[in-house]
This record gives sequence, structure tokens and C-alpha cells, in this order.
Amino acid sequence: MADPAYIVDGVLTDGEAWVGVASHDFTGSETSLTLTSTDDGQVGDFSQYMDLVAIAYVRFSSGGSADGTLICEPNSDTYTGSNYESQRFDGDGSSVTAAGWGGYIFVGIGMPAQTATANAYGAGILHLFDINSGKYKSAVSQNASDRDGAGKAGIGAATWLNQGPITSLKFRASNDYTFAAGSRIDLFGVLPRMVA
Amino acid sequence: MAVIEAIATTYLEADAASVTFSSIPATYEHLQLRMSWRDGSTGTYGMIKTRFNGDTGNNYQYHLMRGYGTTAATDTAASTDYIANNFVIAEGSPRTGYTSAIVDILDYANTNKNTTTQTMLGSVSGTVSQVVFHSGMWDSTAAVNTILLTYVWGPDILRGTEVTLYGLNSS
Repeated sequence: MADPAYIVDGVLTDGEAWVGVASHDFTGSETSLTLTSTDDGQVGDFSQYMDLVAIAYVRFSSGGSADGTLICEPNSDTYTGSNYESQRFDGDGSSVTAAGWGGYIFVGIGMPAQTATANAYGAGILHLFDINSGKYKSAVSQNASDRDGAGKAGIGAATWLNQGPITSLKFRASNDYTFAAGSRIDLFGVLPRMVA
Repeated sequence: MAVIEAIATTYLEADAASVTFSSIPATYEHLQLRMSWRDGSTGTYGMIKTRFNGDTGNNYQYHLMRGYGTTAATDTAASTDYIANNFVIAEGSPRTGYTSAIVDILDYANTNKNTTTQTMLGSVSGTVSQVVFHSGMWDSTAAVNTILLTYVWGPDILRGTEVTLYGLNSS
């Protein structure tokens, strides 16, 4: 078994602080993606990271709608009415909207879906902080979702009211649309400073 | 050389008055702070006071826009003695959570430019949740070599607060 890049000849070093953990290209048939910690001390092991960053570039291909909402559920924890809180701030070209929500960690709102302009994909970047701590887990996100005359740009924040470590991330549309072929999600682990 | 390098991490194991990063090398293109922060003030929210190189003069300004429940709002201040990163979760907040924030400090070592910052900050805590986007400027062309982060109202920054300073290289 190979050591992670920050261990050189058995010695802890500080190299690249952002580590590519996983990358997924959707085939056009999946309604969700779950990225799970490998728990093996390698790059896929979430337990070594301070933060996680997910970069999504997606479109949905079912549901008959022009747009959909991409959400993230740590440890596949579905909404129970009291396990998530969030806040959004979005602009749609004519107005700004602020809204407090329960239920989701939003990665992107207004992401292009089945009836949107062909080949349009929406971008969302999600940052999850201090993922192995005993704190409630907090996140911020930003998204850009343009659909040729419609769309949204926005920022969001969320808290998962759970003190356990994050060991997996499930990504899906809030209404379980299918991810279109060409969609992708990349996950990065962010290391702290490890050597004094 | 790493493209993104962790310069220093501070994880508070006890309440503290401030977090300081000093002797920051001028060898990076940009700096980034990533933090999980809880303020010790008794209000619903606290404010992070940010100063560079020990400058306590009225040489800073900032703008912000925020979503707060169903309210969209904005704020600014000029000729202040710190850059504010406002609306961080404090002890009077409904939840025992922490604010998450990313602060970018652009071209910090260039001595021909004032230093501009941008911050994305989320404080989700029940009925008083906020998401905030800030800009800040230090009216000085000096290279940033020290960053002080502290509170505005106090009495402290709470245990469990974590801040890491990253340096970003172009190659």
C-alpha cells in the first residue's frame, strides 16, 4: 500500500494542501452519486482532511422542468425536519431573493434541467468545514446556473445538525431527477498545516 | 512547489483573544484563510476584526451584502480601523454551531497596490441564519506580513475555532 503524498520516507511533510479525492462523470442514467471515505489512510480517506470541497458541473435530464436543485447529504442523512438548516441569497436577473430553508445543503439552485437550453450545465462549488470535528458541520456554497435568458447566481450556507464525522457525501437533485450525461462532480480534500 | 500550501493552522483548544499569523512569506501570489469560527460575545452575532501588519489606524473599509431570512441587505464602512467580517455566530445564537468562512487576500505582496480582500461567510443558526459576501480594503501598499483576527465586542473567540492560512502559487 502506497503512502499518501504528504508522507515521504515515513516522514510527515507539507505538500499540496488540496488533494484530489474523487472524480465522477455521469453516464446519463444515475439519480444520485455517493462518494464514500475509503478509510484506508490513502487519498480517499476523509478522516485526514480539515475541509472538503466539491465542484459540480451538472445538468438534469428528467422531470420535464427547465431547472433543478442540486443538494448534498452527508452520510446519506435525509431530511427529518430537524437535521438541517440553511440560508440562500440568489439573483435571477431581475430581483434578489433571500430565503431560509430547512432540509438541505444546497450545492446549486436553478441548475439546467430537461427542458433548458441544450448543452447548458450549471456550476456549483460546495465547501464543508472541519469535517472530522465534534461540531455541527457547516458549509458555504456558490452557484452559477445560466440558461440563456433565465438562470440564477447565488450563494448559500448550511448546517448539518450532526456532530459525527463526515464519512460520505450523497449528491442528488432535490426531486431525484436524473443527472444528464456530461455532468461531473469532483471532490477535493483540504489539508491543514501539519508540520510546525 | 505546491500550488496551494498550508502556511499555518491554529486550532483553539481554549478560548482566546485573537488569532495571529505573522512572518508571512512574500513568496505566494495570493493568500486564503479558511475558518470555522465562533465568537464569545453575548449577542446573536459577532464580528471578526481583521488587521494587517499591526496597523491600528483608520485605514480600512469594507462593503457587504447578505441574505438574512427573507431579507436582502447591504452595509459599508469607510475609514475604519479594521476590515470587518460580520455576522459570525456568537454565544447568544440559537445553535451551538460555528460560522464557516473563506477570506481571499489578493496579490498581498505587491507593493504597488492596496490590499483587497473578499470573504464568503455562512452563519446558519436557526431563525437568525445569514449568508454574507464581503469586500474589504486596506489603504496601504505594504506587503502583508501579519494578519490579526480578533473580535469586536468580545470577550473572546471560542474554543473549537479553527483557522488555516493558505498560500496560492501560480505554478
